[in-house]
Amino acid sequence: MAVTGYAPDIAGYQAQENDLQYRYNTDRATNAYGRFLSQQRGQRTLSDLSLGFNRQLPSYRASWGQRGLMGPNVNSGIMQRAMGNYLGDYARDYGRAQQDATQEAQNYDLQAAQLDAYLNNQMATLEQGKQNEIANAALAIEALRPYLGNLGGVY
Amino acid sequence: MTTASDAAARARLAAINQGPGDIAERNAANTVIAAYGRDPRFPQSGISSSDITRARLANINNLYNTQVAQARPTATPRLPNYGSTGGGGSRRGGGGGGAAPAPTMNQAMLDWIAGLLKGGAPTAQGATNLDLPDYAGRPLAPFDPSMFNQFRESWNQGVQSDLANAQTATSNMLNFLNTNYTNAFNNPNLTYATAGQAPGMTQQAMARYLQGQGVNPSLGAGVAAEQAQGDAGFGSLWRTLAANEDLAQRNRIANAQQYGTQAQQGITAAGRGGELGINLAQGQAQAAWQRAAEERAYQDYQMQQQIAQQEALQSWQRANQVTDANTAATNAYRNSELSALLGLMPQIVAAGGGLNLPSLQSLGLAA
Repeated sequence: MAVTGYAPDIAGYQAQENDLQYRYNTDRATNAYGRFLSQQRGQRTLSDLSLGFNRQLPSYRASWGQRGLMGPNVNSGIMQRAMGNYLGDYARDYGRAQQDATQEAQNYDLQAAQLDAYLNNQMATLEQGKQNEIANAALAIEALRPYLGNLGGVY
Repeated sequence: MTTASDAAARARLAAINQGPGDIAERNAANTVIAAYGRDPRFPQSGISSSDITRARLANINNLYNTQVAQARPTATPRLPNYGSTGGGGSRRGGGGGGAAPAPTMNQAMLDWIAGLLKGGAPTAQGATNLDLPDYAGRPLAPFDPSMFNQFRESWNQGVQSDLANAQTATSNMLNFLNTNYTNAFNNPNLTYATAGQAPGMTQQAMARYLQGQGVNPSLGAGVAAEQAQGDAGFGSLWRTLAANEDLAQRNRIANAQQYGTQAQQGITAAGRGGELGINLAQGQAQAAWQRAAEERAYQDYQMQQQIAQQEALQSWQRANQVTDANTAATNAYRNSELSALLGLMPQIVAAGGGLNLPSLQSLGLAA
């Protein structure tokens, strides 16, 4: 066997890199689409929440007026506290819905970054494997050359 | 004109020349001639003073000249102090016509013979040592580390390449982390929803509404406080996660840097291990080469030693052969000389003891 024929399988590494890149691209697209859906879902939730609240708010106010607790020159403390609670609950629910949407987006962002990091790591690993194999091939050739009857030459 | 006396003298001389002593003398002379390749008693222009000393040459020439001078008047060899052969029977009186008295040996004859014998002494031959061409040997070629250097260079290139790859990977990783990082929880483009941004009426609008309804506008304050608390809690979570992301990013950067450092160290260690392997292999190869070189050097040394032994053996054998030949020639010469002298003993005795016997030096038997 001639030493000349011994060389790393560069094409094999390239194929693995291509596969990795392909999987990254699909995963990344899926992630982006999922993030978009998540954002849309959060947006809808917030819109629905605001819409429902704004629809209920006039009747809620009117109920205080029917009881004579709110009106021109009437501004009872009970009504003030109840409105505060009502609007506070709304603000809290709205904020938490916002936070849920944000955290869901963050989760997608985390997954995206992890996909990037995974791609970076795997590409580096593949490249390192390839370059190591090249160096290993050189080392193996060097070690095997005396036994293969080929003392020198450039390969 | 040849007289009867001269003829008789020649006959006697001829008889003397065929005696055992004459034969021994001729044998000795032949031995000398065989040793020299010519007759040393008759000098020629090619004679070297190293072969025969000038003293010996002069002695021989003198003897020869004496012999020629004595023989010239009658063209018949005349011995020194050769007695008269004329008349007849004067010693014995009466009875004339008898044979002339036998010639007697005189001192000059004896000296001439001694000189001749000395001149015929064999000259010692000299042995020449054998000197074969030196063995040059074939040492191994020097160890060639180029292959290992090439391995090492190629290896280091590979190491540098792997290090660069690992460094690039780490740099890319850090660049990716620093460029692409955005803290998802601290991103201005990505904020989270807050109560202020929530759908529906704002808190101010709610307060005005409550006031318009005639109630205290502070009724919504409690919810606003709850929203603020929720936002604060979520913000706290958000910031915690943001801090966690930054921490994770810092950890990733630190991990990337640490892993990059570990990879660099691992590659460097493996690279050093590989280089160590190359060094070990080269060390083993060099050790093998060293062994081979030593074996080759030892083989060359052995070859040189074998050649040296061969030279020594051949020289020793040749020296012994020459010594044996010289000894044999000397012994043969001395035997022949002794035989010649013993053959002359009757004439010497017949001379009546008036002759001085040749010394050992004059015979060449002593220095």
